Parts: sequence; C-alpha cells; structure tokens
Amino acid sequence: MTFDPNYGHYRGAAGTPRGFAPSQGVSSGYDAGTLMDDLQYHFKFDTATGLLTDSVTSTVLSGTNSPTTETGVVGQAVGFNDSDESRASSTAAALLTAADEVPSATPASNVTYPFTIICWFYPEQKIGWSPSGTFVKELETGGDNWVIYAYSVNSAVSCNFGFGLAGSGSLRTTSLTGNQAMDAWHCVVCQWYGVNTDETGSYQLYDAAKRISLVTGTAGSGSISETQYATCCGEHLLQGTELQLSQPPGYDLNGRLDLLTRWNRILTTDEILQFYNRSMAGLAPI
Amino acid sequence: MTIQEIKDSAEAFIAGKKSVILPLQQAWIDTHDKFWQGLCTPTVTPRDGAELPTDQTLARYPLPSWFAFGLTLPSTSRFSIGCDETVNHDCLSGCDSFSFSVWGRFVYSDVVYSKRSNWCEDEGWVDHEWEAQEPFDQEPPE
Repeated sequence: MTFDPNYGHYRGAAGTPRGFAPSQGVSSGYDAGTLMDDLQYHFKFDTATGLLTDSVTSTVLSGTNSPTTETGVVGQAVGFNDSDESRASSTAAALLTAADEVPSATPASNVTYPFTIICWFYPEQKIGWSPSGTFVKELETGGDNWVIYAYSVNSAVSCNFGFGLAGSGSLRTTSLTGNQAMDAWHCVVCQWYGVNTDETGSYQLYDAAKRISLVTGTAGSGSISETQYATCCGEHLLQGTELQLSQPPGYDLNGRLDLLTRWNRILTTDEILQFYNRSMAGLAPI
Repeated sequence: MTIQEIKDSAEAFIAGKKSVILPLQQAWIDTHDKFWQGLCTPTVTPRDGAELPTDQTLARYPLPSWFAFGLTLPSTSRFSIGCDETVNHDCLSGCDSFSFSVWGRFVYSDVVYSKRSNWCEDEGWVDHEWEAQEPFDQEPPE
C-alpha cells in the first residue's frame, strides 16, 4: 500500500483506493509531508468516512453500546459515555504493535518499536468505581501493553492525562501535572522510544523512555506547554492483541476522542506542531 | 454473603434470562439495525454483598426500558445487571455482524468481578469466565 499524492489517499496493490475519503492531500492544496511517514492508523471519527473507520487501512472498530457522533475538533468526533458503557475495540493486526521488541545488552542486536500517538481528548466528569478513565489502550496476551488515561475524571473541574507502558513488566507511567479543564479539547502526544532507549533515542541499557506532552495555543501558534518523561524500568513492548477505546467497567470514560493517530516512529516537535496547528484551525492534518 | 455466593447468584440470574431474552432480541433486531441495550442497574455497583434496588424503568433513549422490553428484574440485587450490544464489521465481506451479552458485576474487597454470556448468530451462547479488574494507582507519586 502506497500513498498517492495525486489522489490524496492510500492505494492498495491493485491500485484501489484505501482510506482518506474524501480525498485530501495535493487536491486540497495541503501537503502533509512527513506526517505520512510510518503512519499506522488515523481515525477521523467523521460521519463521511465512517465513525469508527481507520483512514489508513479501512479497518472498522467494533462498537459496543453505540458510541455516538459528536462535534469534533475537525468535523465529527466519537463520544463515549460511562452510563451506557459505550466503547470500541479491534483485534485487527493492522492496528496493533506488530511484534515483541527484542531487548539486548548488545546495542546492534537491540530491536525497538518506537511510536507516537497524537489524539484530541475531551474529558467529561464520570461517576463510578474508579476516578480514572482509559481513553486508549492496547492489550498484549498477558495484560496491558500501553495505555493512555486520565485520572481525577470524577472531578467537575479538571483532570490530568497519563501515559503508561506495561508490556513485559508492570505498568510504568508518566503523567501531566497541569490540571487540564473538563469539557474542553486537549491535544495530547504520547511517545514510546523503545526498549533500552532513552529520550534522545540513544541506546541505554535498562532505560525505556516514555513521554507525554500537551500542546496548546491558538491555531498557527501552538507550542508544547508541558512535557513529562519517565525513563525507568527496563520493560519492553510486546506484540499487541487488541486496541480498546474506553474500558468499562472500572476505567470507562465520559468524553470524546478525535483524530486518534499512531506513527511507528518518534515525531519531531515541528511535526507535532504541524498536526496541532492544522487541526486547531479545523483542517485535516493528514 | 460470601463472594462465591454472589457469583453463584449472578450465574443463576444470567442462566435464567437466556431463554427469555433471546427471542426478544431476535424480534427486536428484525425491526431495528442492532440488538437492544439494557442499561446497568443498580447503576452503583453493589459492594461486598450489599443489596441495592434495581430500576426496571432504566432506558437508553430511544430504546425501551428493561420492563418495556419484556424483561423482569428482581427488585433488589447484590450485583449489577446489564445487556450490551455490539456491532462488528468484517472488512473483507463489508458486512456487519451483531451480538449481545448479558452480564453481572459486583465489587468485593475493592476488586470488580464481572461475568458475561455472549450470544451471536454463528456461535450461539458463549459463557465467559469471571473477570477481575483490580484498582491500580494511576496518579503520579507524591
């Protein structure tokens, strides 16, 4: 499958278009540039493309208890509600971490699968057993692979976003501290640098850097206003088995998601801001 | 009441509802595009054997309530009751497939226990094992 800029969408082996309908790219006067590189999935959550359809692979998430169509940052967004326990999920390999990372004390033999996820989140106050809500999670055969969540979402005022990676070990998290407002959109960036890899991308035995960032500002003037790293603890990513949006019963969420996108590499700050500034202006970033 | 007694009563409830809900759901999907959803009741999950009132009038608009759909619930329960509907999309065939599951849930010693029985056209009823979801501290250390 290759990206065809003349059509503005991906095309399969037989030349058939896959995803990005209606077409974007050159025909709309915008070149997403390197944001197309190593792109794994991009959920627009739009009515026109299918509420739960991935624009890259055309994979459609399974929807339980009818996730709703809501007003999004760009077009529509998907809504989940803790009272009806709506959620979405998929076991399609195209949406998952492809294989286990291979940790090695020999740098040349160390195999990493770094990734970046950008998503717009709109948290709303939830009730129930846990004050935390899971927005996006990937499972592996033994439990959590990675998770993007918010805590204190039982508050009417503010919450904080976190990013955790379990993979081969117990869940290790890094969290924003700035108290993000409820009932507002927030652009959150989560990055996993890979096994035995620090936040500069350099090999460091037993380091496993994960980073969460918040992007804020007006369209065209976005900046990373907060970023948090955690570099412990020697865990590594495993092959994924399921992608989940919201996680009833305990960690279900009240809120919306828009433009959920994963790249299998670490995006640069310029690329993150390109994505942010486009979407903040109400325009498709990809 | 012990945790095993609560589990036994939830399993008995689910088993007893299978023959009632299946014809209702099959009639429902004939005239709607998906199965009916029954909202969780009691809405606050009962803890440690506490018995809470259920609400048979609970409904997700515009769907009918439990009672209006044709299902009678006990007036009180030591576990929450719900019915989920799911739409799966087969990308190869382009077709949707539909399923629903009846479930029971309670909290015991701060762990959420859930049991569900799922029904779909291809497999009929499939009983899943009890799942336990333990709390974990997602907040950053002080």
